[in-house]
Amino acid sequence: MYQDPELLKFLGGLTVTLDPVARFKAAMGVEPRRFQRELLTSTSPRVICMASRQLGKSTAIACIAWDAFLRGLTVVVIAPHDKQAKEFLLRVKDFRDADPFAPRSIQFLKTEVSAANHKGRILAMPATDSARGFTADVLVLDEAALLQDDEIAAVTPMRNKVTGRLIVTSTPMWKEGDFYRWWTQPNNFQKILGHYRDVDDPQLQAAIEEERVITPDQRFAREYECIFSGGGDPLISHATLNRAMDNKEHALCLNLS
Amino acid sequence: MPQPELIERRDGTLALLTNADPAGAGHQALGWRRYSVGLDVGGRGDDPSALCIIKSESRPYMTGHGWQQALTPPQYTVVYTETARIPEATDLVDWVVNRLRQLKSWRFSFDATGLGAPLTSLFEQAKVEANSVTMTAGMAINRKGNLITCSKNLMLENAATCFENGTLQIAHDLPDRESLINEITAVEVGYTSAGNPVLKSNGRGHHSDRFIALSLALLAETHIAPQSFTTTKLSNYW
Repeated sequence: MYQDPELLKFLGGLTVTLDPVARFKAAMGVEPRRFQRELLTSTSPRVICMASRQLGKSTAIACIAWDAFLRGLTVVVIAPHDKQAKEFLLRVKDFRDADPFAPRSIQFLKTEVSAANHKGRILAMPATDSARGFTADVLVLDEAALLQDDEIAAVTPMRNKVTGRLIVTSTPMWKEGDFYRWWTQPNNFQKILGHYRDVDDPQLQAAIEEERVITPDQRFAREYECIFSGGGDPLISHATLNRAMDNKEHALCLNLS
Repeated sequence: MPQPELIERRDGTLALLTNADPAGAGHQALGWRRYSVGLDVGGRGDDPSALCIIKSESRPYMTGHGWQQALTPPQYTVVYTETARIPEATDLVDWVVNRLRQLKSWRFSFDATGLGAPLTSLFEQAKVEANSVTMTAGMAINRKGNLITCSKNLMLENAATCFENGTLQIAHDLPDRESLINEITAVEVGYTSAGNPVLKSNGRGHHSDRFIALSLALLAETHIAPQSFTTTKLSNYW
């Protein structure tokens, strides 16, 4: 058993550096949720994550961005608005603060994180025409359902064609646009769903259920149920489907080997 | 009232344990617990194949009038869904057979429209008893042995009816239930310029594969499953 506190600190820091899940836990003080764990450990070049509101999409993305930054990669995060981009960098700061091996001379600007003698950069910017001219090793489209297709078309070419990753996250909105198509159509995106009912947090679930009372049906379906809303009426309503799931019947477990 | 123990027989029928009491002779009602499996056949490209398993159950119970037994109304529960991209038809048959072999008592129906057509003979060769359902327009269902033609609208509306009246439910811990619900709610009611209602699956390239598989499995139970009739001598009437 090692007793040297400095050595233990070093080993702890090493674990955090090598394992994104451990990094998340060290910074946030809680275990990542299942969908966050999937996001953190994914190595797929194209990932799309749809999740309920306030479940921690951006926090997981901040962890990924910080990890890529330390590896000397350029991360470009595109958000619908300027404020969201700045808010994103504040989340990155949490991971910097919890990292014992973070570069010393790190600069946190309003829209950029960089460090002297370090190749890595994190840029967070709103989706405007000025978001051109960069080459991103990791391109993140945050709240992609709120981005216009033209804006997405303008920024996606900045991803490094050979080694670059594209990570798209959002809560669902309408049955149109790139986010809807990428999520619903068969393609080579790794699809990760973060639904509030799958989160092992009864307090959060109860709070969201309370929201149901004051939120219109279609809006609740979009914001929390991860359901895209269209123009027409669904053949089977969300209320009917919720009722259909209120039972004690168990799913069947088959051996898939 | 307290109910006797329920026995599940090898053929999927359910019987109440009456301990062979001779007083109960002639009163037995047999229920069932079986699985209906639906397969939506995917395309050669990115369109996946989807499998859905519905548990169908009707339990016998003592009514309280002497030895009289009756059956609960049938209850259908979606207990399993799976999707996979399997381009080869023979691999698809293997995939299905692997799942069917794990079920005790089952009925199997698949979408024989278009690319699914060759599967009819492939399942026959594999000795898998299957209902091949060709989806059509209109509102009719026709049957010739195991070859069935059925309106797609009828299938989907049948599922909607069963959801509405509570006979169809989704297992509360179904792993893929959010994807299933997304596909179910993607089917919307629209109207033609003449004002006639039409069902449309929203979004280009959106297939609602799991929902089609579910509707096929349900149709097999509500419209295709053989029903049994028994006749007995009427007594106590003059």
